[in-house]
Amino acid sequence: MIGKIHIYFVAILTVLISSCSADLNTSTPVDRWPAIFPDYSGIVIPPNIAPLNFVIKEKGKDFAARITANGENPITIKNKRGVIDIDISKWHDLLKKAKGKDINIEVYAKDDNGKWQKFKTIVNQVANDEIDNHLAYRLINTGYVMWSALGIYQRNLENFDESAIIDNKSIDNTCVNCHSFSNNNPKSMNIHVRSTHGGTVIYTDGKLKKVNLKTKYTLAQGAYVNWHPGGKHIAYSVNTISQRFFSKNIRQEVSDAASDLIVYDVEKNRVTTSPKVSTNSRENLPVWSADGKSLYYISAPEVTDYESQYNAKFSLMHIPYDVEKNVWGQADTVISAKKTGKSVTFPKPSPDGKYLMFTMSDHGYFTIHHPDADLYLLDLQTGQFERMEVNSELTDSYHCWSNSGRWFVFSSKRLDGLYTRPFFSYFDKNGKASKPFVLPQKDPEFYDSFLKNYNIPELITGAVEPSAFDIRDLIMTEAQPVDFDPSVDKAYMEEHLRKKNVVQNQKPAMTEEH
Amino acid sequence: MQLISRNLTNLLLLLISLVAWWFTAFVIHPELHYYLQQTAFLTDQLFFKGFVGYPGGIADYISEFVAQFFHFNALGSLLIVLVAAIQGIIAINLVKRITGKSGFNFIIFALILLFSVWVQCDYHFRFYAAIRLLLSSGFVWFFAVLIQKLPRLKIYAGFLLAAFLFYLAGGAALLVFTAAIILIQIRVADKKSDWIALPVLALFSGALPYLAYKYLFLVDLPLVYSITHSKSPVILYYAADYKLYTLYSLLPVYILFSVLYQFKKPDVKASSLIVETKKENKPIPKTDKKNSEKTDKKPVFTAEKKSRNPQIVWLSVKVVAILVLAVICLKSTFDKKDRDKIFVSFYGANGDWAKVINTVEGLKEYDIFTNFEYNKALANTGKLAENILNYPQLAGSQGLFLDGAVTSDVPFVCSDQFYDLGFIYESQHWTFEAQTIFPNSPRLMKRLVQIHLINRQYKIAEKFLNRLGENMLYQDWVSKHRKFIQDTSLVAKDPEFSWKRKCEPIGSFTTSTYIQKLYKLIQANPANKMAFEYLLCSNILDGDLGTFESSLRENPQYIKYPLPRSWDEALILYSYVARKAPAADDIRFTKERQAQFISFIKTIKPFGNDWQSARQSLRKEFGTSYWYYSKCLSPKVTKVQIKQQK
Repeated sequence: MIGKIHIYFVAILTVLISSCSADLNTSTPVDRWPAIFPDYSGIVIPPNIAPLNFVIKEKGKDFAARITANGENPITIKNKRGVIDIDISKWHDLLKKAKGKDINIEVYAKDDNGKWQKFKTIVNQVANDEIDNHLAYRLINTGYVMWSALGIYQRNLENFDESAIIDNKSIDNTCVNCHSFSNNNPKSMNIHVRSTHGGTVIYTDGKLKKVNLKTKYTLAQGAYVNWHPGGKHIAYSVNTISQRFFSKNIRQEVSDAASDLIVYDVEKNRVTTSPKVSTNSRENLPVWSADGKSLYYISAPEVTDYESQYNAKFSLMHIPYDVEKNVWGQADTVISAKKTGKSVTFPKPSPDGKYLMFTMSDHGYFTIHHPDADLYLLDLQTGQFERMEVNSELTDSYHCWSNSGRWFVFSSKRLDGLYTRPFFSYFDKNGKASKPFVLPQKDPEFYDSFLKNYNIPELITGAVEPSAFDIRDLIMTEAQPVDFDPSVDKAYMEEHLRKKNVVQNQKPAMTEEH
Repeated sequence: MQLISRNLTNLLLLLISLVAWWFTAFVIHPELHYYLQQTAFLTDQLFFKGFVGYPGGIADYISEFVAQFFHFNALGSLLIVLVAAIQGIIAINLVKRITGKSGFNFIIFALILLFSVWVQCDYHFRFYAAIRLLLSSGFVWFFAVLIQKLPRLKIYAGFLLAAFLFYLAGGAALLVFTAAIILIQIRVADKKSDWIALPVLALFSGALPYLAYKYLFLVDLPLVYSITHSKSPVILYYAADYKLYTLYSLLPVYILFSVLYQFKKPDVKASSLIVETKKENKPIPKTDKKNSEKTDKKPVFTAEKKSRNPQIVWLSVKVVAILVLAVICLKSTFDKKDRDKIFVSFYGANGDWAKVINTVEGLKEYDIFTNFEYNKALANTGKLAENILNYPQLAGSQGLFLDGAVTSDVPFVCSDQFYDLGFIYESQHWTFEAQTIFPNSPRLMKRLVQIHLINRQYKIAEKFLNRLGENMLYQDWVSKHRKFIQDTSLVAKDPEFSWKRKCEPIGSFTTSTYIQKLYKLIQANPANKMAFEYLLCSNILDGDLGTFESSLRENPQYIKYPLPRSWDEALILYSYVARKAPAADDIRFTKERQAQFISFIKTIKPFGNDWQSARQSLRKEFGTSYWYYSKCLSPKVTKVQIKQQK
C-alpha cells in the first residue's frame, strides 16, 4: 500500500515538474531584456563565485528563471515573488561545467491572462580564471566624524558566509580601518586602530604584534598602507588629516595639512623615510610596484591657504627604493596634475606590472564622496592612460586587483548614489575590463535595506588566519614602540616637522567622542 | 478568615499594580524613554541578526519589541508593570513552594514592583535589564517545576538551563539564576552527590561567561558579566546602581530567607521533603474547592500548616510600610527637573512649540540644551526676536546653535534645526552623524526620507522608507510618504517640501560657522525670515550692535513696526552707545521703549558702574530686557563657561 502511494506521489511530482517546464516552453517571447536586480546580465563571472541571486522586477502573477550551461541540466526556479534564490551546490556544478563557456539565464513572467512571457535570454560568460575566494572590507555607517558600531569583515565569495575579522564592540567601540594584505595573501595583514587602544596590528609569519608607528621624527601614526610584495616591509603615509563639509554634490572633503611617506621594516621593527618622500609637498598613498623595486605615490604642493588644502590636485609619482639596501632613487612624475587638470589617487599596479589602475577626480584624494571620481588605467609600458568603461555616473573609487590580476574589485555608489558597494570586473589579457557586477547576496533584495557602506574592499586568497579573538586580545594591549632608522637625516626631519608645526605631544588626528 | 486575607492580599497586589501603573504613566512617562533611547524594532531578518551574536542578545531583542510600545504612554506603562508583576508572581510562587506559606506575598510582590518602577526613573535605564531579569526568574521557576516533576534530574538540569539562559539573557541573569537554584538545591539536597554538584555549578556559572568571551562571542569582557552593556555612546550612558543591583538581588534573597525559614523547623528533616503530596484526610468544604485543588497539587517542598491568626492588621502594616518606603525612595531620587528637560527636547522634536515654551518657562535651573530648544521653539513660531530674552540667555549666541564640537548629544538637535531652517544638506550631514549612534531610529529615518525627497534623490528616499516600513509603528507615515515616491511630482506640490527646496543654499561651498550658514540661507531665499531672525539675534547676543543695525538697514523687507522687543531695545542701546539720534527716515525704535530705557539708566545711576550690585534692583523691572542682558547676563560680562550636558 505504501509502495503504491509512493509510486503515485512520484508520478504526480513528475507530471507537475514536466508541466511546469512545458508551461515555460510554450511561453510568448518578449523582445527585450528583463529588468532584474541586481543587474547580472551580460557579465563575465568567476567560476567559483557564489550564486548570483536576483529578483525579477517585471509585472506578473508568477515568475520563473531557468539557468543552463550548454542547454543541459537546467536550474529552474519558480515563485510568485520573483526572487531567484539559486541552490548553491547546483550553481557550483553548473559553473564547473561551464568554465570558459557561457551560461544562459531565461527569465519568465506570467501575465494577467495566465500566459508565460519569456524575455530575451541573458548570456553570461564564465571565465577560466577564478577570483580570490575572499573579500575583506570594513562595514561602516554613513557618518563623518562620529562612529559607533563598525568592524572589518571577510566574506567568502564562493558562498554567502561572512565573519568578523574584528568587530569594534569587542574593543570599546574604537575605530579600526586600513586593513591591508601583502599580495592578497591573508598570511600578511595590517589593521590600524584609532583613538582608544590605538596602534597598528600586523600579522606576518604566523605572529601578531601591535606597534606604535609614531616616532619623534615622523608626522603621525601610519595611515594609508601598502605591503611590499616580499611581505617584510610596509609603506605608509603619515598624515595630519582634517575634513570640511560642503553643501551639494560633495558632502565631505578630507584633506591633509601635511603628509609624508615612511617604510616600516617588519623584522627589524624600524621605520625609515627619506627627505625625498618627506618634502614640503604632500606625499600620500604609497604603493609598491609589482616587482617591489619602487614606490608609486601621489603628491600635491604644500598647503599655503584654504584653497590649496581642499582643492589640491595630486600628481602620480614614482621613486625607486631598494628595501634591502635602504637606498632611495630620484622621484619622477608619471602623471602630472598640471597637465591633466585633475587629481590622481589610489594608484595600484597590476600584479604583472603591465598596468596601473588609479582613480581620478577633479581635486583631492579622498574621492569616495566625489561623484566625478572614475577609474582609469595606465599602461606602464606606453605611458598612456584612459578612462575605463566600468565607470558609472556616480562615484567609482577605491579598487583592488586579484592575486592573478584577472579580476579587480572596486567601490561604487552606482546603485543609489549614497551607499558604497563592492563591484567586480574581469580584466582580460588585452587590458579590457568586463561589465561590473555587485557582490552577490543570499537575499537579492539585501541592498534595498542594508544601510552600511562597504569600505576598502580587498581581495584575499583565503580566510584571514588569526582569529578575531586573538586580534581582539592583542588590540587591548599596549602598542610597542618602533625604532627610527639612524641613517635618516634627523636634523632635516626635525626641521621638516617644525615647519609643519608638529609638536612632540600632538594628539592623534581623530579624537572625537563617539 | 484566611480566604478573606488571601483575597485581600490579591486585591492589594492589584491595587499597588494600578498605583504603579499610574505613577509610571503620569509621573515617569515611558514615552520619554522611547524618545531618548530612540527605540526601534524592525521586523526583518537583518535586524534580528544583530542580536544573535552575543550573550543576552535575545533578551535585548525581546526588550526592543516590548519597549517600542513605550511610545504609547498607557500601554508602555502597563507593560513595565506587567513585566514586574510577572516577576513578582514567580517570586511568590517560589517562596510558597519552599515554605508553603503565602503570608509574605504582599511584601515579595511589592518590593519587586517598587524597584522595577524605581529604576525606570532614570531615563537612561535600558529596559533589557528588566527583560533579562524576567527571563532569569522564569528559568528559576522552570527549574523548580522541573525537579518536582522529574526529581532525578536534580541539579544537573541546572547546568543545561544555566548555559541556555546565559545565551539568552547574559551573565548577570545567569548569576541570579545560579544563586537561586543553589539555594533551592540546598533545601532539597539529600545525597552527597547533590552537595558536590553545588560548588561545581557555581564554578561553571562563573567560568562560562569568561570562556564564552574567550572563545565564542566577539565581545568585550564586561559585557558577559554585567547587567547592562559596558559601552554605549555618551548620550545613552547608563551606570547600573544600587537600585538595579537590589532589584537583581531580590529573588535570590527571597529564596534565601525561605530556605532559612525552613531550616528553622527542626521537626522537618530535609530528607522528608519528597515530591509526592501528603493527601489531606479532612473533608474539603465546598467553598474551599479551589484551595483544596491547590493543596492537592504536588508541592516541591513541604506545606506548612497555615496560621489561623488574623492577618489583616499585619497586612495593613505591610501596606503602610511599603507606601512609606515607596514615597521616600521615589521622592528622594526622582528628579522632576531632569524629566522636564527631556520633555522640552521631546516636545521640540515633535514640533509642540507651545509646550516647549511653557515647560521651559517653568524650569528654574539653566541648561544649555533647554536654552537651545526654547530658542528653536520661538524661531519656529516667529517669536524669536520678540521673546528671546524671556529666558536667561546665559550662553549668549552659543545658545542659538550647537553645531560646534561633535559630541553624541548634538547631531539630533542640529539635524532638526537645519531642517527647520531649510539648510537640507546640513541637516543631512547631522542626521547621518546621529545615525551612527542610532542606526534604526525612526525619527532619523523619517528625516532622511524627507531630506532625500526634497533633494530629488528618490531612490534613496525609498530605501529609508522601506527600512522604516519594517517598523510596525510607522506604517501610516510610510503609506503617506510612499505616494511621493510613486508620483515624484507631488513633492513640489507639498507646501513643506516646496518651501524647503526654495530655502536650500545654491552651489557647492563650505561653511564653518553658523553665521556663514545663515548668510547663505538668506542669500538663497531672502524670504527665509527664520534665518534672518537667528542672524540678528545672534548679533545682539554677541553684543555686535553695529552689525545688527546695518543688517537691519540692509534688509528692510523684515522691518515691521513696532520692531520685536529685543531688536527695539538693542537699537535703543546702539543709538545711545553710538551717540547718534536716528534720522527721520532711519530705522526707528518705539518711544515707549525709549522711556523704559531712560528709566533703566536712572535706576543704574546710583550704582555707578557696579552692575553686580545693581542686578537686584534691575532684575524685577528689566530682567527680560536686552539692556539687562547685555550688562548682567551676557557671557562677555559674566565670563561663564557653559558646559553641555552629556
